[in-house]
Amino acid sequence: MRVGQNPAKFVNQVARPERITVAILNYIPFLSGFYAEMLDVLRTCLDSVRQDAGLPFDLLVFDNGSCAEVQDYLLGEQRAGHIQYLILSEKNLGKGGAWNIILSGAPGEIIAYADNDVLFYPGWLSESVRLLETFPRVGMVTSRPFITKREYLTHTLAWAQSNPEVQVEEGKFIPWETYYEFARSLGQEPEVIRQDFEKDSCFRLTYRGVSAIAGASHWQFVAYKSVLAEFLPFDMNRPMGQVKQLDERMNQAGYLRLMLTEPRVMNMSNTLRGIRYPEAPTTPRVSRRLWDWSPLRAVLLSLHDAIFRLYFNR
Amino acid sequence: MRIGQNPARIDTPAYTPQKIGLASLVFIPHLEGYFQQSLSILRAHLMSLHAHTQEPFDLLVFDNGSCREVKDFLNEMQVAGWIRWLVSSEVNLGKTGALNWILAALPNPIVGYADSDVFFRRGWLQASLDILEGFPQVGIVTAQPCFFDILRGEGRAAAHVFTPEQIEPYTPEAWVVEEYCRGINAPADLRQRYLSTPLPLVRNAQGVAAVLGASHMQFIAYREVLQQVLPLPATRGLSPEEDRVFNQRIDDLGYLHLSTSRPLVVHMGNTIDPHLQPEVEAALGTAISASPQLSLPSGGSLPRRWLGRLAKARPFKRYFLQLYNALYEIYSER
Repeated sequence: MRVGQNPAKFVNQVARPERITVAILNYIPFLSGFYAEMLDVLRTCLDSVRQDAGLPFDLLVFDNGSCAEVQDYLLGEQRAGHIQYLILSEKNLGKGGAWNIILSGAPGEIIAYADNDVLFYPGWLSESVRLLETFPRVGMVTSRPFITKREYLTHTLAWAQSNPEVQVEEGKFIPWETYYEFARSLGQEPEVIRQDFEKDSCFRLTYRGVSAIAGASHWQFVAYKSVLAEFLPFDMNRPMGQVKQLDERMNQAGYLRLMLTEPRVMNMSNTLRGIRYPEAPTTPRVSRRLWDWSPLRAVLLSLHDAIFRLYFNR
Repeated sequence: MRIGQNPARIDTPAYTPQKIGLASLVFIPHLEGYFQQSLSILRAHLMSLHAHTQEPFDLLVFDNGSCREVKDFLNEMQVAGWIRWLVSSEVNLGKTGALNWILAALPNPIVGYADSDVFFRRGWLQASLDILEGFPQVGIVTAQPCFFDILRGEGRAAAHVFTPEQIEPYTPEAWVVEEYCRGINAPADLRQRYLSTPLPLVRNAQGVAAVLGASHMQFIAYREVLQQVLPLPATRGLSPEEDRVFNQRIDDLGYLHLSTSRPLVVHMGNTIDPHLQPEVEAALGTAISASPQLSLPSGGSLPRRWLGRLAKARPFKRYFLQLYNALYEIYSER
């Protein structure tokens, strides 16, 4: 039975979520074979995402049924105050199933989604949100340029070509180094990358003084939650491979799909080899509150308990 | 760079959520004072849910910024396979803030919610489903007869579905009323009013009975109905007014509040009532000590005796309670 008054009723204000939720989807079922270095990759991903994103955000991590070592690491990160929302799933829902929970539950007005093998460079979030807020009817923004499928660009290009405010240019707007490092991260051979680079081109769109490359991708994107809600739920029953639906359906629905002109994120895949690290992070000082000092906490909580017993426990 | 092929790409099926997803909201900022027995209550809540639910379901537990001991307990429960999804928030988003998460995120077509101090009895879900699936325009269904009208007589949806002749008076047995009143520690006059006021009851063509009214303490509903009332205002820790917005929107959309005529869930509150103890022990599979009467600080050490004497002086009560709430805010904030 209820004894006394729940003190939660006297809390006048609760924490307000940040406008932006950064959501990372993680799945590392074991730490050998393909996943041997994945805990280091995840650690690098989470360290870099907090480093000078350019805008405040809450960090959400969805763990899709990883092994105990990985879940223990994530629990430690949350205890250290580095993760605001941690979702541990007992089973692997697949990427689409996890998206259904992440993209509908995350409390931010803007959701910045990334796979667990993304490396973030300073300013990635502020630059991405600038595109999101400058261009009209943006569906998703990916925070680096790379070559994407043209069939998913049709609406973006049609809008740009019919809008006199937009300058549309086709050419090699992705420098070789940027092109190569991304293609190489996918495991492509250097010779193949060189051949592809010679024949590939992309579209640069400039609108109200801000430039973007046409295209985006489901492995990392920034989007309005309200826009993503139009594409939920994803009907997916396989672990991977069907999330391209988002790229396709967003284009069909008439939303713009854009990328930054400079690389602000990088795909690490399953190793740290060939990674260009951001500037070394400065370790933030952990501010501790006086009343969290153990002896004082014990005394004050004892006082709290005594008052409860005096007035409520009858 | 990528070395090798991701084995997750092979064509193995992902987990498909069950038809029913149940969610529990936990907030236990510390284990002192009001929350002294909350961990035992939480354990009884989760174990009774599993012990007394026959239908398959996915369980989501949303921890709204609880203390370390509670988070550790929930992690152990998940590792042991009792919790499908464990959402751990660093801070308290308030009850409706958490509900905005839970009700939007659960992927199951039928969604159930309960506060973490609700005890479940055998058959609670089937009885709730009989009502949810057996009546038209159902919004939410609670598995306990509803005595408190959260809509304060202003609900309109029921009048569009039932004629006055279809509504019959129903007087639950006295123990049912007593149990409800003990759960909320109701004062004597309220207890008397509930004992003497019949509840409005309706039946469908199959003879399934339902009491008009439901509670946001515990309910099941169709996901598509719940999606229509989100997001809820979320500025307070635990606000009856913000809770009420949920019920008001359900009613405004023309959906019914219904409840079972028998108490198949019970509000435990923050202590285990001696009359519930045998049921709780059966669900836990272990004996528990009866709610210990906490000792008053008037005995014991000199500071405690001094505190006890001061507390009896009327003018100090207000200051002590302010201090109590201030300390709560400090230690529930993360």
